[in-house]
Amino acid sequence: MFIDINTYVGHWPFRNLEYNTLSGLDTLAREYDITHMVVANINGLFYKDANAANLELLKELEEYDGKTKFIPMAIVNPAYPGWERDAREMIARGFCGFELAPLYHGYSLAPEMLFDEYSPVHRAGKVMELASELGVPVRVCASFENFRGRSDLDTPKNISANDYVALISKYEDVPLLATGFSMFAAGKLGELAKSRKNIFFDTTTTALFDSNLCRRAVGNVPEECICFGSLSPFNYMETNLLRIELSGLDAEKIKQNGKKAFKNL
Amino acid sequence: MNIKEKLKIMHDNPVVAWHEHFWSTGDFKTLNTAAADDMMRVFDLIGVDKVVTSLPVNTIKRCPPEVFVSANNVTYEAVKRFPGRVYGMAYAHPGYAKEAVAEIERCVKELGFVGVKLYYDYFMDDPVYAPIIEKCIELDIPILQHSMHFMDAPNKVRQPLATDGVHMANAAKRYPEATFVMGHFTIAEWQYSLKAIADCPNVYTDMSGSVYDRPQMEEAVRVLGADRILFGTDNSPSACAGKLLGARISDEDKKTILRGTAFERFLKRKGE
Repeated sequence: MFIDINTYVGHWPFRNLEYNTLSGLDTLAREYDITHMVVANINGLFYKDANAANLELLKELEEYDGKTKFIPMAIVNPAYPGWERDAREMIARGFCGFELAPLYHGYSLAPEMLFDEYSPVHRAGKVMELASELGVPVRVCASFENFRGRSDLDTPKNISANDYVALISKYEDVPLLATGFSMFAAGKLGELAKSRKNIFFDTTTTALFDSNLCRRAVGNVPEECICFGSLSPFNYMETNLLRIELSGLDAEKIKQNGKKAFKNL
Repeated sequence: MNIKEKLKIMHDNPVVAWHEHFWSTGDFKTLNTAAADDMMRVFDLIGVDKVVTSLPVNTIKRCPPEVFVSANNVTYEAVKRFPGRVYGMAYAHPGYAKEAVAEIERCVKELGFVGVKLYYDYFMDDPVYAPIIEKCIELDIPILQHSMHFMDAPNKVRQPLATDGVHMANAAKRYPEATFVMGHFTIAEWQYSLKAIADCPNVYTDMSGSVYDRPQMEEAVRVLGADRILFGTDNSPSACAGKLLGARISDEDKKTILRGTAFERFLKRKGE
């Protein structure tokens, strides 16, 4: 098994993407014998009703006849009515976990808001509760494009891994796929990963490497919590393949670590 | 396919990295030899044969001549540490026109440097650069300019005079006999900068930088042609080797970029 925990289909409003369908991702995966890809539909960040994007992905999955096995994540906007019913339905229909996108769905993860019963943001905690009940992981992606080149219409913010600590700490049994964090952002979440062992970072997290120097330098994330992730089709996959081959990490383990987040692949 | 197999194109062909930095220990007086050796080990891993390096000063506003002279001496330390593999580029602050021109001449004629590296001290099309550009034309050396079209507020504040493709194109049209390199096109709003220099044959670019958006390499080859693109990493070797290897362009185009075919003469002049 070789699993990529960080892929998307769909349209990015600010830049053209290639290989942004399941068959496109399959083309990229097959070149390097990647067997599984954890995927969500990026349209769910921009649709008012995120679940419409999950239904699009479901339809694409039904029509897909490639070799790579896709592990779909349902994008959930907990500030939108009916999210829980939709989320349960998506899991029942074969989705394997949830994805949160607070920057695009307009809510904060500030601890004082998360557990305030009167705050709509409190529902992010409810997503975690549901993930716990259903035994599925949650994925969060810190950024899709480097902040220096983002469109004025995109969010200028980056989510720090530290922003998730309060949310994640309360739900110890929910595996977290924390992808795309910037060079300085693994921080406390990396520390948490040491004891939890179910918080997974991917190779796009440059904090795991010394300024991209292809070798492991930051020691606060256990090797068993580092997964292969490419952020395809936004990025060239080859950079992340080089990182695991040249970093001194156990490449074969890194290729398989992502499966630990899922109970029944 | 294994990524190591794909990496063979870099090990089996000449590779020149045109945008590198061997940093000082922080004082612009002493080469950080441990970091330099480490960087060379990484270059060995990915198959880089020759490295062109500079030490621009980003921590001192209006960097005075004694500091940029000292920084260039650090670059020369790196050249001497890796003889035949590392080449220097001179950094100078254009606000000190007389001293900058003299320093460039010293670096080229006495230290054997092969180009000039400019930073975000002024926009590339600012007349303040005229003496430096004219000296580079006279010495027949390329001008590598730190370039980014920033979209984010913090960097617009931090680097308010950062050159982008439009500034490069303006300078190139004013000095058609000069050879310019728009540094690390891949960072920030790269499509904007590529289009801005498309019609300026004397502006080249390098693919260095930590951002590896697909399909920036395909787009660069489409807009500029492979012969106007130089390989480089700017201390991000995995990002840069990866985007080159992953690009859906021909092997011939990859070899042209890796070799820096259009710039070979600048190194050959040194008898290499």
